[in-house]
Amino acid sequence: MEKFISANGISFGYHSVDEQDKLVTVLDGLNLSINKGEFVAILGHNGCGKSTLAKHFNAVLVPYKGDVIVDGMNTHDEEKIFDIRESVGMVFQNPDNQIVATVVEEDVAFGPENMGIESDEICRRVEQALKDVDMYEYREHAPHRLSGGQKQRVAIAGVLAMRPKCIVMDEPTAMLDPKGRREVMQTVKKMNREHGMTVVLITHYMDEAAQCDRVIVMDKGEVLLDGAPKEVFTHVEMLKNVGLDVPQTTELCFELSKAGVEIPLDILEVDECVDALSDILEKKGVKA
Amino acid sequence: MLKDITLGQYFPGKSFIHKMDSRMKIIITMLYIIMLFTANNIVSLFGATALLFLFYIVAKIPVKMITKSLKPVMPIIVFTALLNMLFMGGEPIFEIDFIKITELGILMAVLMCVRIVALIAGTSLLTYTTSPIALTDAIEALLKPLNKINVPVHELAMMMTIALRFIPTLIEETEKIMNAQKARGADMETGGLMQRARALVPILIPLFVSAFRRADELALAMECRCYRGGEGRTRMKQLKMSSRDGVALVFMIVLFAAVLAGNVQAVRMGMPTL
Repeated sequence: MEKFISANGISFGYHSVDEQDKLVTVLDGLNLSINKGEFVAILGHNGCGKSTLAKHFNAVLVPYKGDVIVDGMNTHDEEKIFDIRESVGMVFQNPDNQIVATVVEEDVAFGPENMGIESDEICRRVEQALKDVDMYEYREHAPHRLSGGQKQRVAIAGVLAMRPKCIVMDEPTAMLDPKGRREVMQTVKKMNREHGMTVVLITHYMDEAAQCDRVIVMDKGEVLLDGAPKEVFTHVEMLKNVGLDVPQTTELCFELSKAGVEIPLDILEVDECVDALSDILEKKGVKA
Repeated sequence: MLKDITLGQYFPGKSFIHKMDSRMKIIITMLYIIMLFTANNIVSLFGATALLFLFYIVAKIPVKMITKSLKPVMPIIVFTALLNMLFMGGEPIFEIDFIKITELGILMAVLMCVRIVALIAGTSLLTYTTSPIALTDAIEALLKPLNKINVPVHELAMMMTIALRFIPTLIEETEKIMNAQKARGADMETGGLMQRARALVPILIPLFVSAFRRADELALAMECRCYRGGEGRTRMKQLKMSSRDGVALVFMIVLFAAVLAGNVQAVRMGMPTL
């Protein structure tokens, strides 16, 4: 598969304000690559550097050591900054703080307007982007009248209208209610499946991570685990050690196997878990 | 709801005036203001006021909105009327002590009132029929020439847009903070003026902190969406003048000429003028 983003041994740190400018290392020689069309979740405890990593993907931050290559462009190259930002869109946690205009469609047009696109083309892109996130009926509404999930979808549309090749989302569902979370996840999955968009989803909801193709677990500025969700979530104890949970089904299977029940550990879906459990019960002669 | 403060001004509609180019609406409002100040006699001034009613009818804005927009300036109107009434020369028709009321004074007071009322109602019509976005766009377009003398026109317009965008958000936030402080025992309803002013401090400080945080995040989000100032930026909705705007401008100029002619005629006939 073709690499879209690759981070080669990147390090990054902030200067601490309280402790006389002491350098606090956030990323420490991290290596990572994300392929074209992949749907990747990045998991990690608070302060493990996952948001900092995300900001390296579109040149908001540049590493002080190592290189980030996005679609063949190095983020150290200042002339390429806007090309990089055009190909990697970013969605943040709080939808309120990323909506610029007072009308939905004007806000979606903000990105393309900055790129200097013709007005007819902008109209077409805005319409398409709003239809992609199912917010076309709300194009003339004021953003503050929308629900959290709707606002976040408008923010996603604002990024989509720029026609990026990849979307990086920094905990886009953290401030939303369950309904809003579902709406946003559906939209993101659709973009990935139907339009082949590369998606990097930073989250701390395990069930969201379980829906991705690949899960990367970060700890202390390094990659701890990297693989398919089924594989990553079998490391239950390791995940718990870095302050993360596992999906409830995985946890149930893990506890059962610790108690001596023979059950596979890589179960993520509820239905799958029910089937596995009834199989075991049948084997023991209990009628399901 | 407190949230809808900014949007309360604008009445969406599809009338002739609503459909006009917002730049032309600003120009015509300016012309109208100048016209009000040039009209210095009864006939011209009442003509100009009648014109205003015509505008309101065309725009399908309820005329009772005029009274609503006048409320905040009522003291100024009363004060101006009193001054004009008391300190105008001429034959007194009513006199106690130093208070002398003359026929001319009453006339002048009425004319002055009409002028202020028309001024307020006329400018309100602009905000009633134009959305805040269209208004900022128009201001940006009209001030564009100032770019040459290094006035950051685009940046000013962007600031206005963002301010409008964040008013409802910050009002909501203020309500939340007030509730949070009340839950902690803050007393905001009782006490004198000083005490109440002091009670606002625990609301304003968190509000400012959060506003700065929001500004920081918004700037980041804007940068991620390739914002780099006004240069090379295009617009989705371009302002377009149509024949409608030409008609409106010609209509306004003709009326302006009529008012000027009315002024000349009034002087010739010896009518009292402002």
